[in-house]
Amino acid sequence: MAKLQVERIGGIAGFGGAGSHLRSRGEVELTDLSAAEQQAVDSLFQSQDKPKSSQMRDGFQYRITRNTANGVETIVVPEEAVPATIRGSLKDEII
Amino acid sequence: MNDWQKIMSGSDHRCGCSCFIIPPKVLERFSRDKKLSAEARKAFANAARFDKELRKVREAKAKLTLTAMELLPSLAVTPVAPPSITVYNCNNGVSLPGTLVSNPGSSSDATAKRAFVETRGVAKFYRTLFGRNSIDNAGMGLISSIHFSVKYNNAFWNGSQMTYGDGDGNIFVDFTRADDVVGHELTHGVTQHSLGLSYVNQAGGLNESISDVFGSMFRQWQANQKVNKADWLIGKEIMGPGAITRGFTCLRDMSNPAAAHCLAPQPTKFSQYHNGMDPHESSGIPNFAFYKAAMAIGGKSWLAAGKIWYQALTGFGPSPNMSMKAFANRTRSVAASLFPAKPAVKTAVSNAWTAVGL
Repeated sequence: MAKLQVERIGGIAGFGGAGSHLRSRGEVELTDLSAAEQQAVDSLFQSQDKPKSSQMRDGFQYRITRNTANGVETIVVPEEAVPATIRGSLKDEII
Repeated sequence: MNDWQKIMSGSDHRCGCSCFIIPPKVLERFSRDKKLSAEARKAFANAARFDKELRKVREAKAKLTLTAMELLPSLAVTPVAPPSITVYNCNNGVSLPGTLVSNPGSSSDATAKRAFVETRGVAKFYRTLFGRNSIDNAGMGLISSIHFSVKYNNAFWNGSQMTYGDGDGNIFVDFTRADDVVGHELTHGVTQHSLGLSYVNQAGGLNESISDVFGSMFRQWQANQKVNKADWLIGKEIMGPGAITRGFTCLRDMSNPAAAHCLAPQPTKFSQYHNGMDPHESSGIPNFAFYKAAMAIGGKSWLAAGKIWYQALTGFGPSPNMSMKAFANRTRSVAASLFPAKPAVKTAVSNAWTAVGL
């Protein structure tokens, strides 16, 4: 079954940084997403555009990885663009 | 209303996109996407046009601020009314700004009261010490949203307002509890309306550092502390029991960025820097330089080092891709021009940067 691996990075605390003790990770079955959410995820993977002019500071970003017939694909997108089910899949922890 | 319009209007909670930020190019692409209805394409085209106009307004506002600073320097000492401060409650949702909190300064919700009081404190800090009239130096109203999302471990500045999460109660507690965090977020606004630093590579690290520097300075100013009495910790008051139990006392420590008690230890030398680093990581280098400069100068951080950093930040117009070396050199020359009779100040600043490899 197709899954999305998700990691939340950044924020004022610096989640997921090289030396950081903070991690926020999760996994979502594609079938657990609504049709609208699946469409939103597809759009994110298809889009190569980055919100370069955003003034968001300390916002979270999401690193989302999926396996496709063409191999593993990973994108990094701002939290605002991430569907709620994916955002809700994460667990914050100290490592 | 079709699905895409619901997303655009923020009412599609299935998708969780109620504070949607879509890049302009994506909006334009959707506006030409024949798979969408004519109505939806028009909505995206309108959104793209609106986005473009909004950016023009923001740029014009920033330009006006800088022009005023150049042509009307007396504004800096003219008494001005404090900016309006409003607090909104997201009630654990993600729609911004949320519901307006009436009289937040006397609210029974401690988070609302703290957000109001600390924001007012930061505005006073900038006005009293640096003659700055709010974030944009033109009296911009200060908006804060609290109780954002559920157990949300973050606070952020989105280009026009601050937003605070409650923390999960384990790693972090309510993000309004730390005055340096409030100062940090508001300073992102100051940077946006002055040096305009980007958020990647060296400029991104500088951007984060400037927020830590003025966040920490605000905390010291509130406590009327001299540099040798300050703890130089960032985020001490938002540490939750799960973090404290494991020996973590802060997000970052400006006096010892690589310390084991930091949740996110940082590099201390420019030789450790590489492009692509998270700005919250690379900021350790200029953070350490500020700490060293302030300690070498002594006294209260806002009286000399703070004035130098503020002038380097606000006195020269935007420089979005500024390197750390260029900022270091700017503070060296500003130190000499602001304190011509005190060469030790410039020496302290210069030595501090040299110590971190800049």
